[in-house]
Amino acid sequence: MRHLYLIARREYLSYVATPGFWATLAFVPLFMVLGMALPLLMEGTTPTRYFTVIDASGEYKDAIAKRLESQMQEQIKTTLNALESMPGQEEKVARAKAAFAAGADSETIKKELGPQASMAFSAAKRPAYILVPPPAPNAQGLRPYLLEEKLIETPDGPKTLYAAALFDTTGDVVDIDYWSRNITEGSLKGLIRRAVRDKMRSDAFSRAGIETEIVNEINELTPEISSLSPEKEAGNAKVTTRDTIPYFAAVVFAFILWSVVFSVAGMLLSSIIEERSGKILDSLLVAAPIRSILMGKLVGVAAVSFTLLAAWGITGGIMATLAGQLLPAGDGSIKGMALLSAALDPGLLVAFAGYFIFGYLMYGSIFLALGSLCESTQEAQTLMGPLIFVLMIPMLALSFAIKDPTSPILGILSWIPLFTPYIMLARLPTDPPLVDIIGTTLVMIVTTIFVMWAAARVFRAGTMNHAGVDYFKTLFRRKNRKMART
Amino acid sequence: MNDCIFSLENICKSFAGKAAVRDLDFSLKKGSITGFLGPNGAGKSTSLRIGLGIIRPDKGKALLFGNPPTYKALDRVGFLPEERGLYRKMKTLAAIVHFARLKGMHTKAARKQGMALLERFELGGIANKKIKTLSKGMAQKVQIITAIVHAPELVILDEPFSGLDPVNQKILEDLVRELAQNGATVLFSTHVMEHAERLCDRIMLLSQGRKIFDGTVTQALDAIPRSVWLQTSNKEGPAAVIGDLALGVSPQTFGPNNAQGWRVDLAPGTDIQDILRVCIAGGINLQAFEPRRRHLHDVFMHLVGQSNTAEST
Repeated sequence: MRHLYLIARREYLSYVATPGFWATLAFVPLFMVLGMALPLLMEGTTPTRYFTVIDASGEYKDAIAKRLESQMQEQIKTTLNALESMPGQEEKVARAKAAFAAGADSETIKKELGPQASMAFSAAKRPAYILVPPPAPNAQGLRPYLLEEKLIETPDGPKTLYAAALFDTTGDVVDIDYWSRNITEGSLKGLIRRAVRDKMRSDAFSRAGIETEIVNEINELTPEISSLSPEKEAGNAKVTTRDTIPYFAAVVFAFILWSVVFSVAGMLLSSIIEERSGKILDSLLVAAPIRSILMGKLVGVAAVSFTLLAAWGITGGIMATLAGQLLPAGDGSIKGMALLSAALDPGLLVAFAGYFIFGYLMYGSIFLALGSLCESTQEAQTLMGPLIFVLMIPMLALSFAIKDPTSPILGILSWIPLFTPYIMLARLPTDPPLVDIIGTTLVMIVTTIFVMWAAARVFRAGTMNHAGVDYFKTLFRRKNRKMART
Repeated sequence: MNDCIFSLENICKSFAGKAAVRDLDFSLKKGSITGFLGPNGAGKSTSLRIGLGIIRPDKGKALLFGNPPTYKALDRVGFLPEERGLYRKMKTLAAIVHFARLKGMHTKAARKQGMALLERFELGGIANKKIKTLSKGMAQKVQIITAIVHAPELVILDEPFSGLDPVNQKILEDLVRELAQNGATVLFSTHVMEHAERLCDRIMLLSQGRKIFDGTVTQALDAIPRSVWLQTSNKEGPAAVIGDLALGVSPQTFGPNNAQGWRVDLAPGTDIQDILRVCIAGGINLQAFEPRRRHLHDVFMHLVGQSNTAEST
């Protein structure tokens, strides 16, 4: 135990004492917060864009204006639905929804919401695009405005003209020239296309003798789907964001697990390569039993990852608490809070810890054993290459899991012990059959024991007999020779 | 009480079908200094690694303090491996303390002893410097300190003098003597015969995995014929006059001026005086006559040469 403790301690301190460790400790939560906040921030900071339409007929311009208005209404509706999940806001949001259904304006709706929710509502209801009258009659005249050499007059003051759509309706087909300096952004172009397409279809129906009102009514026909779960109490079976969050949380956890296991397995790999190439192993081998060296390294690096996870967990918990108390809630922050509260589900945390231990022992042992055969990182890369490809499979599978965590492919993959920790973690909120949970866990445990046993043999060959990267080839040849003899 | 500290009994070991050690058999007595000599690839390091239980032999057995090597027994051993290395990012004293603690020492004692040894090697100032900042020679000394910091009863040093300047070689020689005086048993391998000649009570010579000599330095020196170098104006040389008194007479240059002369290898039982006497009696006009001092280097070359010839035939 003395050897194991001392080796684990040295391993732990060798990482913890590096600036890289502290940088990882600090930057990962920072990046996670940034990752969550960045889309919201981008959305919040994207300015309202002004565009114009030159349409001699005027029909299509009106269609676009109507589309903008209905899109705005849809946005308000979505925001109100999201705000419904906000703790303590249920009654106020219900009143605001009723006002919205009655056709109330934005200010009335805002009044119905509390101060926190109304801030989020204000941010969400800001229009992305505003249609303005054309400052010039043709493309030539619009060019200086589009190049920002001239500004357009709007009720909000002088603004840049973001885009212009010029209609040619002289022929059978409607031609639209879309002018903008931003040649990659496609949402406005899409909005114009959809609005014009609906108008063209509506006109075609009219020409066929079907009244416009009927066409509009037909176009408006859309089912209201309410998601209900039989697992919830009758009368309260409606599925809310809070119900769906655990599925996403589990997938996020599985991604984190994958990343952490690979980061720390990578640490083990570089550590053993350092010891082998730095000729430290001979000194170690006369000072400590080989199993203590192997286990000491595994335990030391596991302690590093536990430190990281604990620090991140505590930071996450503190941030969640602070966010709940201090931050005004928007749609994104509501999801973030729900995600954090789902993450604190003890069942998921226990599963995460269990899968981490076995995943880490499996991959850590493999990386340690392979590392013991390598003199340099270049050699290790050669050996690891095919393995890395195999290990990308759970990553791809997790992308599936976001869309359909009950997919049969995930069910099959979860029985492959190398993938079990990640796939099963993602599957857990779907309540997989008990046989899947117990079966995959047993297979994973047995495989972990076997992998550790095999890794110890390879490690022994690498450290004591100086076996190299051709170890497996030699082993395979020897087995073949033995078989040929018998 | 068992006086045998370390022994290898009929050890054989092959790697990929190639014999590295063949029927090696020896034991070390307490308090002795033994030199383990041999050319590159002779099997010295492999033998030491087998003795310490790092490698399992194909045949034979290794005993440490009378028993197969265990980690409890290895706590009483200090080992300087041939392939040296320390954790480059660790501080010097911390690295020494780490290995001392692995050998069962308490932190406080390890720090004190480590610091004392650093001072002795004039390295007190680098105790808190990282290993990667040290020169090769300094790192070598630090590695030696890690091997002996826990006051081991058996010290095995694989090529300890390589990489050290003459001053530090002298310090290490004194340290080895001191370790032995304090009761430790020392076994070291080396290519530098002068160290073995000065330090060892006993030497063992290995060639192609086989022990080809085992004895004291004096016995080793006796393994090669004594010789004398002489210079004469006689063109035909002294061979005819010396006759059976010599094993061989061959022309050879000698001295700093590369003076041309003759080397006479004495036959067993022949005295240098006999050679001088027959030369004078035989009318050899001697201009110089100088008995040659035998060196372990000559023994090494002679025995290894013999072994290689025997192996090839």
